[in-house]
Amino acid sequence: MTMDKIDALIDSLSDELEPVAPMGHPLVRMLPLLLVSFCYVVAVIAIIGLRHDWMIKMLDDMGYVFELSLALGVFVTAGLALGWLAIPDMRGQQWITVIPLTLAGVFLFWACLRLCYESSPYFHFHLGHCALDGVFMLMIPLAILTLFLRKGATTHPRLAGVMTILSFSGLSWTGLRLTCGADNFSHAFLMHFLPFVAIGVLFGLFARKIFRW
Amino acid sequence: MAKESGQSENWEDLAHSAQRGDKKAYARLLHAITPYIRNNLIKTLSNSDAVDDITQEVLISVHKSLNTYSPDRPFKPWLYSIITFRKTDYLRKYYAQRGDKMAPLEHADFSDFSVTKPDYAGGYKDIEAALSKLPEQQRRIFTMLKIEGYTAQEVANEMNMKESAVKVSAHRTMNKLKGILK
Repeated sequence: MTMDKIDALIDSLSDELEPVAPMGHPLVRMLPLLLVSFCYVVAVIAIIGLRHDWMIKMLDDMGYVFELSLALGVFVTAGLALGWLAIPDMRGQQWITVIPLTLAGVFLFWACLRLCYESSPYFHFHLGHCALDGVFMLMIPLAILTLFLRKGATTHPRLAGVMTILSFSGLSWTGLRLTCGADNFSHAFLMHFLPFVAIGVLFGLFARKIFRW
Repeated sequence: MAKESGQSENWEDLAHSAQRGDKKAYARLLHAITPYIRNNLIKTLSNSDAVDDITQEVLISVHKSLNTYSPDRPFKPWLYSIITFRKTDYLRKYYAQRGDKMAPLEHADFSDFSVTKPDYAGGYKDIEAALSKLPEQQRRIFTMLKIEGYTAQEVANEMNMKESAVKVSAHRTMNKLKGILK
């Protein structure tokens, strides 16, 4: 292409220009979306019903509370990171993705520890209940976060894909742990965790196409 | 911030005016950033067509994502991240599509096939390493004839050899290189 063609392109782009409102602060843009996602999952939990011993677990089992806090932390921090990822230069805040990645790393370490030290052979294989609940819980948050990012202009599509997965996985994990009565971690790993991994892999493969702009 | 020597207008101000719908300011901004985009691309790309294609894509991307620029932030990092993104995207597509295209060694003008500058990407390293394994005289004849572009007669005069001997030497060198590079 010659410079003449570039000049012609500039002329046509200038002609097409419409006034645009500068994008607001990422935090302000993301918080309502995360709140909507959270409320949606609370509603799903209310429909499915909380596990019968959730109050006892919350008061007596610190590991359970720690795990839920960690998952919620991943949901919030990864979701907020998406606000910055929707902007080409991330407004200079590239470090922000380190927080959810670190929390996710701690979570995985915690999961591995529990898998190693739990020797119960009993395995709750109620696939229909957990898999369906998980799908219900992630549907809307996934759609909200994906639509939000598609409205932006990310220059890190893969990282944005990872953050989306981490965010909805953290929220759905929390929801499933509040509804599913099985504390066996091998069950949680297979029924609560692996489905998200599978969805995440698919999502990651198509991240460039999904977030194309 | 964005004001540098030779940059008469503040890109932040122009971008902010463009966001408010000022078409003239927008045209000035796009004209002003075009050389900056090209200079950034020329550093690493050897193919001028690719530079022009990516420049065009960057301009369109700036147009699409103008709302994501924050007027209180410097313009250049925002623009630079778009340039890097579009360049990477272009190169990934380009190299993914040309896997079956091979340059014959006899007519190995690699600059026509490679978008990334070969010295930047280390593209000539294999050939240079293979050449270094050859005897001095053979290497010199091959370099003069095939790389530096001298005629067989000129090489023969320089090396005090017959023209036919130069051609035979170059042919043998070519076969040796093919063997090494396989």
